[in-house]
Amino acid sequence: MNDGNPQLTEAELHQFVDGELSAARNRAVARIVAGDPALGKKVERYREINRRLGDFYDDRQSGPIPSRFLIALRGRRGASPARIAAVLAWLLVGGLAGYSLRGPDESAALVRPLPVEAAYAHAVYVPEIRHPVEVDASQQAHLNAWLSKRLDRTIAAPDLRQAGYSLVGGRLLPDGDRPAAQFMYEDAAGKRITLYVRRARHARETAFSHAREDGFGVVYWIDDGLAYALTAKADRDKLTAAAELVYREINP
Amino acid sequence: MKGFESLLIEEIPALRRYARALCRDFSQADDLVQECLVRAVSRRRLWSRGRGLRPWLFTLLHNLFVDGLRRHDALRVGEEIDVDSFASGADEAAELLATLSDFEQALHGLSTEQREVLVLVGVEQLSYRQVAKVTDVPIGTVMSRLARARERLATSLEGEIKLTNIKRVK
Repeated sequence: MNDGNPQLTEAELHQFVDGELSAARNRAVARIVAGDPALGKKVERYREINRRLGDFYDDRQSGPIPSRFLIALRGRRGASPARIAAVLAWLLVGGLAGYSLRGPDESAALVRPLPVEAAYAHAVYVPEIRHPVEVDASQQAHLNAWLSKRLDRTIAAPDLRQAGYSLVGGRLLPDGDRPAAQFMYEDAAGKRITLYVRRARHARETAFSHAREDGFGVVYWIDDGLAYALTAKADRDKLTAAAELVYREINP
Repeated sequence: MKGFESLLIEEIPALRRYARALCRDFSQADDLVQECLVRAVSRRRLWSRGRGLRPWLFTLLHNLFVDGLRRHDALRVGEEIDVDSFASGADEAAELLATLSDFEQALHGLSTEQREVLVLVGVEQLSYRQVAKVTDVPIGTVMSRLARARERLATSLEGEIKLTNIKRVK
């Protein structure tokens, strides 16, 4: 091996910048570069190129994640056997835990159950720094009017400040071929919670049900023709308390 | 264990960055990402958890891009070129270029293959070996593309630095 070779090839300079050299050769090259201002300048240029590329391809330049990606994620999977099994499993758990089992209305939603849909939407938008919502809380009246119009039902972002959550804003989402709404809130520590709302397939009301989707807790229910799902990385008690507040705010 | 969809969601920003390096504009890039997500979901069984998800997704995206180019070339053979639309497109492109820094202009002037390697190595931190796999070329080719691309960008930076020095003198 030429680990100590004082001769340096152009290719090695790139390998040095990109961490592709063996540890021993890396040390040797670092010494050579430190002793040669021309080489040092080259290395600095290559590193600057990487920084500039990082800025140029910064995520924030790309804008918000298009909601059509959500549809792509669902793919053409439809009701695959694994999916049906997963859905049946949570229906069963809900049933065993004593929650009222949903009838034909939920079987219509078997392919895309409410908590799964809500958890996807939560996972996609909660990490967004720049574009977490389409309309922010400063335009709350517009937000409510817009989403009510699109869902063809009067809906309004409930006030969750009692539970320590202030409204960030909301967005419109696709729910199959229909619209759905997502309201996002955050607490003082910046932890986010989302309320997903869509028109229920059937108008029957249900009690709170619980699900876990990919590490998120979801509480969901149907009330007065609307299906709600509250999603957060929070334990069940905290989430239930927040869901109760949502319910009280909507039914004062 | 995290579900496959959640893992895919986490990779969306990286996929968008890579697609932007390949495509001319954001909307094309997002089309490509969307196609890639659909393909990843339909081929999830071909990915094993032990393998890195990102290089696998990048390979899917690269292949979709190359397939798209081939389809496009096949279409173009029998197509008549509309000279007017071509000219106005070139005008717009020239106008856009004028607003870019020397560095960004130089970046646009690179070949897609060069830009691709630059971004995979410099932004996404893939190893040369991983880049060779994603782009389906030998490691030597990856290294020569990288060296040539950096050479050109370094020259553009040199130009920018000289320009700022001149401005300071004024």
